[in-house]
Amino acid sequence: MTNHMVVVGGSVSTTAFVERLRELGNRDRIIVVDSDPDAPYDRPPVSKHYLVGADHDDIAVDWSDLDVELIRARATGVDTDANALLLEDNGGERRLGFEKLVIATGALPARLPIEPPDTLVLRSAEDARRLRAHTDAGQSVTIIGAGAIGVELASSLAERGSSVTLVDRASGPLERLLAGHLADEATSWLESIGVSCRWNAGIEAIERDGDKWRLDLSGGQKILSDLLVSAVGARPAVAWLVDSGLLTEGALLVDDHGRVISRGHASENIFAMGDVVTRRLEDGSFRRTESWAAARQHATDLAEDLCGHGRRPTQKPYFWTEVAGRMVQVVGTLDAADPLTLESSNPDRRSAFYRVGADDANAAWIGVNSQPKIARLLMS
Amino acid sequence: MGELWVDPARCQGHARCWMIAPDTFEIDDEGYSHVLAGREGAYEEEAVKKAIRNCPERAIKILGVDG
Repeated sequence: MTNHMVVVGGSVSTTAFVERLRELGNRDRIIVVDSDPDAPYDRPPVSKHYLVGADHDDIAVDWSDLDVELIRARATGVDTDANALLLEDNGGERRLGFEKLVIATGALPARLPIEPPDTLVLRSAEDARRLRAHTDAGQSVTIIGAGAIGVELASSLAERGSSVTLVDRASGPLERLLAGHLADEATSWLESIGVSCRWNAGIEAIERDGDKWRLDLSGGQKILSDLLVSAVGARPAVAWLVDSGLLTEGALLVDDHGRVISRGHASENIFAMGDVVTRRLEDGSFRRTESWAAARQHATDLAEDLCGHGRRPTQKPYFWTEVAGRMVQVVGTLDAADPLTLESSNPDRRSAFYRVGADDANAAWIGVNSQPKIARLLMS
Repeated sequence: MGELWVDPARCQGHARCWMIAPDTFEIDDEGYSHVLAGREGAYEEEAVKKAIRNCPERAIKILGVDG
């Protein structure tokens, strides 16, 4: 009998998914498959507290009341005809039957084509421990990519005493997440803790130069450092599904109910949620999300759909990051074309609260050390 | 039942705990969460476990049980 649900991946969305299923009274047998030795754990602290302290309590998630069986194995494929997940662990290969399959393998670090394969990245708890072990105070570090991970890493390492250079081809930090807003401000915060920022930087080559790494920028500039970290973004972890027939143009597409769409049809029993998922919008374009809040939203929506329970209202999009000791929070969806208005600020607290958009009803909001105002928005 | 506590050094004001258990947590004027007075030892365990899992800062602790 295969009267059980198998979830591949044990991170942010899986926790929210199982929690909501159990809350709605679902008592199915649930098996979670994850090869990460630290699973289950939460992601936001990995590039923040955990990177500094490596204290397991900072990432640990307690599933003890959720009645979940965890199998530590690598999923290598899906046999959709036989409703079986293909697994690989120390004991070799095996198959795990399922009634319903939920794919939640998240994303993996993207790599630049010119990047040496041993370049450090930051995604998993193990990556964070490796990075921590490699970075002593006094070392110089070059970080490629000024998205949330690159900026958080630069902030953490600079505050630990490393000499940090942050490089991005964009014209400022967090360009995608903040839709180009506050680039000068964020640059000055990073520079205030000693981070050297190189924007509009094309990388021509990455080479070993003695015991250092050397980055050759397109303007002829060279950057030497002890360590090199790549943080150029993330890609859905779908390589293991290549032979499953579940991918469309290399992406794992789902419909509004989290059902995997393959060959134009929505699956009856295979679902996906979180960072691994791609959605096709009405205009034919593809869209992915990479946030903790969005992953949890996918998960609770899917749990509610599977239980035949009405969905709770969708929460406002929410994202946060830490930049040089400042809490930066975004509520709503930012648009580069929308005007940015400073609503209030307090230099003593280094706080500022911005509206992005012409009118309050359709605005998005950016808070810098503005937790009270953001909390009120989230609570409303 | 251990004592419920929000670590003020960790809480960043995401307000998730308040959304899950508004009768246990409150958000103060600074935007940070606290356990409501009198609730430290009297709370609904299921909701609090959920709040703990939902805190992206791992700021909510039950003292004397696992912490």
